[in-house]
Amino acid sequence: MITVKNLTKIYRTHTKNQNFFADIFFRKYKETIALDRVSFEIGQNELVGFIGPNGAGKTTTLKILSGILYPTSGTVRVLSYIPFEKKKELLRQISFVMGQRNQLIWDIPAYDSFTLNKEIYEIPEEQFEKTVNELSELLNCRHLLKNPVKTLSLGERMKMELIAGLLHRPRLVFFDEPTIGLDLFSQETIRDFIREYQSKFAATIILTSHYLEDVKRLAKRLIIINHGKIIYDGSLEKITTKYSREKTIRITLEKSVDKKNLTAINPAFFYKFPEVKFKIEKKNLPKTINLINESLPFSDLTIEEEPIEEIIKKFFSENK
Amino acid sequence: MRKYLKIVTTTFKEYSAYRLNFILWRLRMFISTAITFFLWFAVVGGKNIQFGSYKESSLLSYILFANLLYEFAMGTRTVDVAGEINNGVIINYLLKPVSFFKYYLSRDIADKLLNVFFAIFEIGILVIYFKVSLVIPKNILLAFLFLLNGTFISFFLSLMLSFLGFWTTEVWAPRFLFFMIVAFLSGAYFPLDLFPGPIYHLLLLTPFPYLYYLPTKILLGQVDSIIVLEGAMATVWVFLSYKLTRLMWDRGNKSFSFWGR
Repeated sequence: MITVKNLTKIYRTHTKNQNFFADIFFRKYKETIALDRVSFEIGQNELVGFIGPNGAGKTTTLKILSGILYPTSGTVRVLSYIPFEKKKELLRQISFVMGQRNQLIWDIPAYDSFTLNKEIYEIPEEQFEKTVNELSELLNCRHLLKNPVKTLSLGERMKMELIAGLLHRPRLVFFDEPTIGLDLFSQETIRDFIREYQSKFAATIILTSHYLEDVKRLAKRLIIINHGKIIYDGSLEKITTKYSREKTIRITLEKSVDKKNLTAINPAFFYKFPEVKFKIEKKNLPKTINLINESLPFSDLTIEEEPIEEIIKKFFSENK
Repeated sequence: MRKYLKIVTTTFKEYSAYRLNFILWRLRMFISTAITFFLWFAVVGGKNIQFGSYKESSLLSYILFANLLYEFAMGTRTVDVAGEINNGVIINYLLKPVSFFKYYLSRDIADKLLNVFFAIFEIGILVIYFKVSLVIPKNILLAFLFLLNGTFISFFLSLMLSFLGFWTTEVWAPRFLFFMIVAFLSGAYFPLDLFPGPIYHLLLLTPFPYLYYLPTKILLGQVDSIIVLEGAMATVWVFLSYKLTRLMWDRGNKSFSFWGR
């Protein structure tokens, strides 16, 4: 579905001189390598999480894959097309939903933008009505279709953006931070929606997000990019097993205990009655649970995985 | 074809969302036409003066027809394009299976139709109030063909100015200056054949007389003896301006970074 070989993108920007005339006649340029010989392949119906810090090259990659940007070197094939040629046959099969950008026309209702997309993508009337109904039901936003976009909240607008982006039932969707700035409920709705869309239409999805929870919930495969280079391409599970060496034991105490008892179990802990938290290395887990059982009066005990953010942080610090 | 028709109707809807804005824009255009009209009315109104080949009726008719055709030839939404390049909105067009040029031409058609519709009423007011004896329009088909050429030249010139946005954020000033000069050289304030002969013939080598001056002259029944040559020149300018705009578009797209946008 997507083949990328040795993709390099160098941005050339001019640096401002002190002198106005020098700025016009003797411009100096600075080159920034945004992508450095990146290669990967993505198959049909995959959902890939694309993560990395700001300026790592995530959005640049998506923009090249969708034909917005011209690559400096390397080869890119998307559904067997060269994206920058912007062949209509390719554009009809892809979509790029950006959390930070509107494609909807600001002053008129979202439904009018949908009908415009209907003509642009040549969607049959019946399919159009069916898709709008289905998607607006799924996102619970049917009542907002006729409101001018400028009157919608950020979350409501994002839902409309999703419908606009998926109306033509693209086989390949790029989601660039689709949950940015949204509250937890909206984030959850949008995640469920993306999952549902992928399974229903067997779509291939590439997702970038700073909320690693999005990636954790949706993607099985993870591509981590930093300074324009791919530093990890593999399963999310593998990276979690490798870099998640600790688990958190959370206990609710029945009565208060002396801090000495807690130190005896593990020197590092968090204690605020009735809650106690221990960060324990995985290999010491059975031993610690036994100790807790023997020495602490508790009413509840849970074992939590390390948050994905911590795991990725560790990955970055060890792969600088 | 249906998609471009839909772009036209959607643009109408956008205008209806900002009615006051549109009314104020029309007021500005009306004042601009009225000032030129008043000036010439003061000079020739009720007097038997001849300017070049123009008498009262033909001169006032020129001003009114030229301003009406101006609305069609020059009315454009492409002024928005530079801003859309700079804030990245242009990405939305690049991602859709639609030609950017045709998309904006459709938007322009909506803009032109709306402006011409209102301009007819406004000019009608001046005609009735000042009892102007308008010249009956002639050669309508030929004038329309010339106007079509002029409309394309204007569309491509305006797009080219907006495409400067691929290389600089400061597009407003060059555009403003350019259109000030264009208004003078394309006959918005007076018929260009009032210029001395050599200057007039030199002007005919530029794209400006073909925008709406020549269509207006043809409408007034004043067809030059070199009309075939003028037609050829207009076509050359359509072709040239298209090629240049296309070149800027291709180069701009290739070199522009859309970085962080």
